[in-house]
Amino acid sequence: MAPLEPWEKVLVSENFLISSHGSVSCISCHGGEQSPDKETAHTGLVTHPSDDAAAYCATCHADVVNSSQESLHSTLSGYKVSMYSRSIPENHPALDEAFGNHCSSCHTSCGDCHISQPDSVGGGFLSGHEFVETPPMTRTCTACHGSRVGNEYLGKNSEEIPGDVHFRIARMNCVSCHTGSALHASSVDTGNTRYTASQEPSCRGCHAEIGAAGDTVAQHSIHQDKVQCQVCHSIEYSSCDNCHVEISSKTGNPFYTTDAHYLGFYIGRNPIQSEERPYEYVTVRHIPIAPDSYSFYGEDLLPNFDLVATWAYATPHNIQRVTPQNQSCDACHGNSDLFLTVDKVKPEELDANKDVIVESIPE
Amino acid sequence: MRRSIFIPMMITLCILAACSPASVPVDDKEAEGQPASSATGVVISESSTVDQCVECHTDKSKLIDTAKPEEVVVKESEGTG
Ligand code: HEC
Ligand code: HEC
Ligand code: HEC
Ligand code: HEC
Ligand code: HEC
Ligand code: HEC
Ligand code: HEC
Ligand code: HEC
Repeated sequence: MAPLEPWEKVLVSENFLISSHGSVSCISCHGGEQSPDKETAHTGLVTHPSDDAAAYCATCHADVVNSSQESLHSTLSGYKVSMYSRSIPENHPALDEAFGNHCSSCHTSCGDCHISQPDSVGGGFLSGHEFVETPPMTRTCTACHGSRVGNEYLGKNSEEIPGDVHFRIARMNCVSCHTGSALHASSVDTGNTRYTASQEPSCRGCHAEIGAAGDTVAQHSIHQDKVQCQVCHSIEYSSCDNCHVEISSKTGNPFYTTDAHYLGFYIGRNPIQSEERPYEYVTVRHIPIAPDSYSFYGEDLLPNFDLVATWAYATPHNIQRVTPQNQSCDACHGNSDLFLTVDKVKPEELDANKDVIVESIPE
Repeated sequence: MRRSIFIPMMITLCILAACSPASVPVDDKEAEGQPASSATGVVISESSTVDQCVECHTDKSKLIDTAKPEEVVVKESEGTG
């Protein structure tokens, strides 16, 4: 889609005005004052009513609002859990400050999925202010989830790396797998990170026949839950090294620097093995963290850096039926290039990744 | 403050909506020319006077005249986010 013109972003359509939501006056949601003068009309404007969904949406959508308020999109608790797990309570205030400056802008309001494009891509109505039931993939989801998931799914990482089979062949989009109720769900009971809960969605949820009696693919019956599906069905994906955050002395704006961004495919041992994710071997990617990521906010803020792997459990979104590594048994068995061996890990991160590093390649 | 107008208004809307014939979608205009809000029986005060917000936000040329030029954001971040 061509970028929206500034006026287009805020042009309200007739369809909105005749819809349930549009039959309420603008002022009852946005504040402001009746005036033909823009500045006056905008005094006390509430630009993002759905940041306070309890006030503006809950009267009619109580269930969605109640659970959504505790969803990862709303709380971003995944970030906090990840910061805190490498730190100590004394450092939480400094880390909270960093979070406030650099992460909280990713907070996702109802409006970011249903009404407007996220601010990070300049905002603008999805459709003349209508409350759109199904969030459009490239204008909402991948506006935020672009650099990893979006590029993988749509095949934008490189000419040689095709997009996900579910996109190319099955013409599915994000919400075909990530349902509204899952995205609205509270994460409080599930550990507040994306991989602590049950697998949602799960590959087997749709492909129940895999590994079951009658499956003719030998690789399925042999490996079952020892090997995560993506180990055989995904291809090169991106990893990032270090993300260093600071406040600019020139402009006062927050900014970040990432050291390296590279494509690769790495099979590691499962750092978060559990009943829900019983696999011995999984795909892993380097996440943008380093001991000095938050050094702008204080010294040694991540003293427990080695407690959590920097090569993290990954579910790359570029599934293919046939991949270089699943073409034969030997394409994978004994092929050390595919595995996260000690030589691929930075010396200063060996401790953090001791549970992930593969010592002996499966023969 | 704003909530104090909004919530009672919404509650009234909901209550009225509940009285209206089962799930008549508001945007299903019963007859051409009827105000859309009549399905819920809500009389929105602005229908008699002009709602200045609607006036401007449905008028392309007014929006073009008043829209702030897009700010050129200095990109200070480096690498992939
Ligand atoms: C039922 C509540 C509600 C009503 C009524 C309402 N809005 Fe909104 N409006 C929202 C929400 C929600 C958003 C999305 C922002 C957010 O909360 O994330 C929004 C966004 C906007 C935006 C920002 C567009 C962008 O992406 O930059 C504008 C402009 C706007 N509304 C104008 C209006 C006007 C004009 C009216 C009256 C014709 C109106 N709104 C009526 C709830 C409402
Ligand atoms: C006065 C009651 C009321 C309030 C308040 C309200 N909605 Fe709705 N909403 C409805 C109704 C009724 C529908 C069913 C579809 C329709 O009639 O447009 C709906 C449908 C929706 C849908 C699905 C779109 C569709 O066409 O089915 C979304 C998304 C939505 N609302 C979001 C919100 C958000 C976000 C807020 C707060 C800014 C909000 N609603 C506030 C009454 C309300
Ligand atoms: C405004 C930016 C934004 C938009 C728009 C957005 N996301 Fe997210 N999403 C995030 C952030 C930030 C997180 C990380 C939250 C955390 O881990 O604490 C996240 C987490 C997730 C997760 C993992 C957590 C969970 O709830 O399962 C999934 C899946 C997801 N998003 C899918 C989607 C889909 C699908 C869409 C489009 C319908 C979408 N997102 C739209 C920013 C966004
Ligand atoms: C074919 C199904 C499918 C489709 C389509 C799909 N996903 Fe996912 N997604 C998954 C699975 C499976 C997981 C891992 C869930 C788990 O382990 O709990 C996942 C996890 C995620 C996560 C959390 C992990 C991470 O990498 O950050 C995000 C965010 C996400 N998906 C976003 C998206 C977006 C955005 C789209 C559309 C561009 C999309 N997904 C399309 C199946 C899908
Ligand atoms: C990360 C994106 C995302 C966010 C944030 C989000 N939703 Fe949704 N919502 C969805 C998706 C996806 C669907 C399902 C669309 C479909 O099935 O076509 C949905 C469906 C809905 C529906 C219609 C179906 C239903 O469950 O009643 C309503 C109403 C709704 N959302 C309201 C809200 C409200 C209110 C908020 C904020 C409290 C919100 N949504 C936040 C993605 C989101
Ligand atoms: C929401 C349902 C859904 C989910 C979740 C899902 N798939 Fe699929 N998958 C499909 C559909 C539909 C197709 C296309 C039709 C077909 O061939 O089965 C497909 C196709 C495939 C294919 C290609 C099959 C062929 O014959 O070419 C592979 C491989 C695959 N999926 C693997 C996975 C993996 C791995 C996951 C988890 C990351 C997953 N799927 C998650 C529905 C799903
Ligand atoms: C050890 C490697 C391996 C693992 C693990 C694996 N697959 Fe496969 N899968 C294959 C191979 C090989 C094929 C056949 C490819 C071909 O047609 O050449 C295949 C084919 C498929 C197909 C195509 C339909 C069919 O049955 O022929 C689907 C769908 C699929 N796999 C899904 C999955 C899912 C879901 C998982 C995880 C539960 C999974 N696979 C785990 C190797 C694997
Ligand atoms: C993409 C990688 C990959 C492919 C392709 C693959 N394997 Fe494996 N296989 C593994 C990994 C990783 C393990 C180690 C699992 C463990 O130790 O728990 C394994 C384990 C095994 C085991 C031991 C299983 C057990 O229960 O301990 C056997 C036997 C095996 N593979 C045979 C095969 C055969 C035969 C093929 C070809 C038809 C094949 N594998 C294809 C990755 C692969």
